[in-house]
Amino acid sequence: MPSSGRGMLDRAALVHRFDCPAVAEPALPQPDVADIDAAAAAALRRPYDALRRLIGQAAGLLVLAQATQRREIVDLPAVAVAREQWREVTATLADLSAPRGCERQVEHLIRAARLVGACLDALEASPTRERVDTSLALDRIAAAYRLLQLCSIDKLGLSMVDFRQSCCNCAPMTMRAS
Amino acid sequence: MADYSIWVLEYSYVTKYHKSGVLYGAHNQGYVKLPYCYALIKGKNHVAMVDVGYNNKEYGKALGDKFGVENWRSPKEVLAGVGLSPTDVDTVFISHAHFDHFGNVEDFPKATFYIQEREITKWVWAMSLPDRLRWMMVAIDPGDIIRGVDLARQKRLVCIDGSLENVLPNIDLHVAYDSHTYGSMWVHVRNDGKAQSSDAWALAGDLVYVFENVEGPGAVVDADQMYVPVGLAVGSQENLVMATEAMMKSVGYEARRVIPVHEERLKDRFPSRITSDGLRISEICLADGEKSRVR
Repeated sequence: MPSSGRGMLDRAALVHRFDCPAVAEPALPQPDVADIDAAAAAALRRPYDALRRLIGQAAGLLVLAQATQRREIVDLPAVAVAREQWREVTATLADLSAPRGCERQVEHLIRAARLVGACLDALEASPTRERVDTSLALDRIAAAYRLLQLCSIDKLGLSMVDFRQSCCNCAPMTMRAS
Repeated sequence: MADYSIWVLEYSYVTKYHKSGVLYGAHNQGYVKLPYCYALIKGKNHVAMVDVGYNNKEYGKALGDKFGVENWRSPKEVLAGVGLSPTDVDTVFISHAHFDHFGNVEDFPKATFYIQEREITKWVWAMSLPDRLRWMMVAIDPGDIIRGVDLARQKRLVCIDGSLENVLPNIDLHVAYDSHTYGSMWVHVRNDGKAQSSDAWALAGDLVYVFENVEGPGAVVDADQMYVPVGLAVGSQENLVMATEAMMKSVGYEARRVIPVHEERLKDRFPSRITSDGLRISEICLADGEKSRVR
């Protein structure tokens, strides 16, 4: 390979780490939900929901830390709560047997959990620094979000937004009425 | 003398929305059309918006399939109806963090966003709660919060704590804690520039959905009218009613000056037109020298 080509690849590898959201991953094929029983779906949904909420918590803390530049934000009890929940979801995922056809989804959940952990590491390290720098933590949490998005299965309730009580939640009623 | 023009711009809608969602206690009373809108304020060399809608790429299919949300159009298409583009917008007031209000920040690359700090802190808290309490964490997309971090890094997200006067000249932000959401915000435009304005408008966010929230039937208490809160609140109905009183007070108790953006009947009170995309533009008021976009 010409040296300029190799150089370009090297630079790409340096610029885009393994967890960079700019490295587009294809959407996972949707499994046949008819093959997945309710118990298996619930087992999958539990860590998915936990990760979705952990990502929301971590991102919220990052917004506050970045916008206010108050270092005590990252020392709030909320960070400790998130860490405890992360331990729980990591343990749940370690014990989870993937429903048939959902093996890639479970792999993505495990990777997302690792990234959430890395985000929390970065958040917890922040108080030792003069200014709150959210860049590393943001990279991690954005990548975790992207992975979770990729393994969403709407028909099993694995969805990034819980619409059930939102202001758009009306069509199920209209369908029954019509 | 009027400094600002205000338009309410529809960007999508649901044709059959259960009335009890917009009006507390209106069970088994049928359905109403629910437009999804944002408000645009133009004047004093500023273009500001109240909310930015949602991103169809992320939510469109789910909303269409599950809830019958129709005819979503991008801010570029919608703002073109009043001769503007998203890059003209320099300021956005986020009334609350629900996905259909805070879900499209990327389309406004030059704007600075204002949101209540409590709206973020309490969502962080709500998301940490166990499943049995998950009702309190609905309609939030963690992705919107992540995009919020990026805005903050660019110094384009301002978290405010409480009310703020003159965020733009003669425009004030007011908070209604623990009402529709934990840190819902409404926008007060004093169009004559006076502290005690006689030409003021209150842009209500989701604190008011429809006219009846302000001018509800009062027969049950032997009154002509009374405030009836919206159907969805993570806080309290009391706080919604008190926020309505604050908005009404700020506009001299002239109900037509409290602007609900989910109200299909704005057309009955204000000049409006339907665009070629089938969406409505309602013209709430015009600044001196500004030409109508609906006539």
